Amino acid sequence: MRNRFQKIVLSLSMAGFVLAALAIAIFTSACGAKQYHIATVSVVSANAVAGAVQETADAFTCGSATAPPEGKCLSTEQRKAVAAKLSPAFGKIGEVAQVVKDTDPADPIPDAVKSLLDQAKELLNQALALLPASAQKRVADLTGGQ
Amino acid sequence: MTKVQVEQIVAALAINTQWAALLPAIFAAGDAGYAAFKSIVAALREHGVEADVVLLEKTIAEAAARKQHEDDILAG
Repeated sequence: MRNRFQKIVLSLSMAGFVLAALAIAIFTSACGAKQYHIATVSVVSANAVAGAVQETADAFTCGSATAPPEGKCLSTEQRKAVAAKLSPAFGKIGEVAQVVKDTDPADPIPDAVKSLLDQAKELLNQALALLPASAQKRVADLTGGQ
Repeated sequence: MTKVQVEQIVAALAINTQWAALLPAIFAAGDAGYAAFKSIVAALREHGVEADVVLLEKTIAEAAARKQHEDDILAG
């Protein structure tokens, strides 16, 4: 059920839309354990999307076996610029996962969860914008987007 | 009910769509059957939260490792 829900959510579109949908889902759903579960799925999905962006950036970095030809791959400086966005994004995702984990399943999900997911979404969108178009398409393929 | 038993029930529900056929037998057992049914539902609910916590812990560890990878690139 979890995998099915995650697949549906991830199929919506690109990473930014996915995370926006996840944030909305948390606050329009039922309370208690169900909300806790939805928050968990949201955080796990956000991590999966961010992981897809990271793996794509690595695959497109000049010098790697899977990198496209010179001129279409990411230079060291370009990869560092992506890292400057992805590092804090993973920090936010780890933080939000900890907040959800520390929440009593019977209690409402704290507002910090939506705020942290919004921040992670913004950082991921910025990281995506730094990737070549072909890399953005790869991320879309990995996350089920078009 | 042990965690292993709960896991077996969850696995059975996932792979056997005919699980509902068990319900008449549960209700046929009267109050005892109803009590058993309630305990199964409660255990499944508890197991669900446990599963969420396991997923969250895995995500926390993975996000930290992925963040470290990005920090290494920044430092490199």
